[in-house]
Order: sequence, then C-alpha cells, then structure tokens
Amino acid sequence: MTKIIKLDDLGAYYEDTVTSLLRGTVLELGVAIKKASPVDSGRFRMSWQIGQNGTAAGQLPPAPSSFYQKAKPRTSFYKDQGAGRMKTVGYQSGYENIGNSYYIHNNLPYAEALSYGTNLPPSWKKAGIRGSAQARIGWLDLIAKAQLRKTKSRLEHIRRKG
Amino acid sequence: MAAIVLNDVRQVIEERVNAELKKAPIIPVVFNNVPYTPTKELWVQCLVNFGSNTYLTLGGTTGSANMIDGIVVLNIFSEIGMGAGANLEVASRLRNLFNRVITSGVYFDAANGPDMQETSSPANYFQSQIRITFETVESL
Repeated sequence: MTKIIKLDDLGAYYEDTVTSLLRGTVLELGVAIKKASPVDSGRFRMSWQIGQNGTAAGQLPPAPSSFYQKAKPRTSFYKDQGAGRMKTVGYQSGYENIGNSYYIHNNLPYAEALSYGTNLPPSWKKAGIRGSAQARIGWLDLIAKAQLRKTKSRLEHIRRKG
Repeated sequence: MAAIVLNDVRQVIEERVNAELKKAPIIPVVFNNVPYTPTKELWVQCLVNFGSNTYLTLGGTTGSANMIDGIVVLNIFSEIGMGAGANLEVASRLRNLFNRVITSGVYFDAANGPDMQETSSPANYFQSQIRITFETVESL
C-alpha cells in the first residue's frame, strides 16, 4: 500500500518519524545499559540518568535501608519512571526531541571503575567497599555499537519507506 | 566457508599490539588471562572481548553471513606523579594502530579515548584507556 503524503506535509512527516526513532533509541539504550549494569546492592543500576543537553550535578540518593532488606525480587525505587526507565534531567522521559543531545550518565564515584574496568579497584575492596565481578570488558561500548547498528538500519528503513 | 575462528581475530589484534610495543622503547604488554606482575614502569594491558552477533543475510547454517561485534580495550599504566606525557605517547601509538583500520577482515571503528581513569586498577598507577570497537563478517 502506498502512503500518500502531501508535499507540504513532507517535512512534518519526516520530523515525526525521526523523532520516534530518537525516542525509541534513547529508551532502548537506557534499558540496555541498565540491564547490563553489574549489580551488587543495585545502586549503580538505579543511578543512571538521562540529561537533555547536559548532565546532573550530583548523585542520586541511595534507596532507604528498608529497600535492601526486602526479599528479592525488589521493586523499583524510582517508581515514577516506570519499569526500565531512568531518571531524566531537564525533560520528561518519552519527550525527546530532535536538535537536542541526550547524555546517559552515572554520577556514582565508582561508576567509572564498573563501566570501564572489570570491577572495583583492589584498593577499594581492601577498604571494604563492595564490588561486583559481573562487569564485562568494554560492555558499554559494545551496547552503544549494537544500538548504533539498530538505529542506522531503522533510519535506512524510514528512508526507503518514505 | 566455515564459522569464524575467534582466535584468528584475537591474533590479528594481539600481534599488532605486540609488534608495536616491541619497537624501542620496548613496553611490556599483557593479554587476557596471562599472569603478570607489574613493575613501577610503563606497561600496557590489552583485552579483547566479543559482543553481539547479527544476521547479515537470510539463510541457515550454510550460505549465510553474520556480523560479529567486538572490542579492544587497551589500558596504559604509567608511574604515578610523573605527569601524563609518557602515558599519552604510548596511547597515541596504540590508537593509531587501530583507528578506522581495516585488516584481515576486521573493521575497526574510530577509537574512543585515551580516557584518563580517576582510579587505576590495579591501584597506584596513572591509567589511561583506549577502547576500539570492531566488527567482522562470519561467512557460513
């Protein structure tokens, strides 16, 4: 079936389609990063945030101690974000728009070690800071690459369909 | 054609790093799952990992093709308190080895980094990290 789009509406049609692609990409990437995040207490996983044209200055507060005493599976601490979503900075989740940059970031002091190392530095462990051995080598970059391929392929699909 | 031999891909990467770091000044390099006791001086850790696998063509276990993603992580450790110069010099050499290079059927992307790590692992080093994702085609 051929979709008929008036010449005047062509710009708006492409803008809507590409905006949907952007929203899907941000959401999918956020979920993929959270899912792959190594978990010990779960604070690292729940500390990812998405900023529109910027990043948050501080750390997200830890969950109250009662949260950690609950039997697994635990319920999401940030209930307002919905399952799998992240805390957003400067905009509302699901309302990403073209022309902005979105930064998925984690401000925990040990986020760098878990993201770019394979675990916490040994000296930190000696100091009694707990760690997780689940971090794979280069896991963040591999997720980004897989997502880039998906997004490119979808954009190609939009071009052909349009 | 046959399934990809992952060790061939690993060999392509490790041989390039090894050959580069054997040039003067020689810098010790350690690879995945190899024991190493670091000294205070400069040394490099080269890690290779494989990621997602996607269909390139339709088909089954023969006459089809897949795309395999992977990553090379190069950790460069130098003496603490001596500035970043020596570290970045090695980082430049290593970055140039892979930056958008195509070799032996392995397609390397633009290199990320060197990122200066706030806390080195192992501790008491000045550490920078280069990450280069790559892809290779598996023809079945």
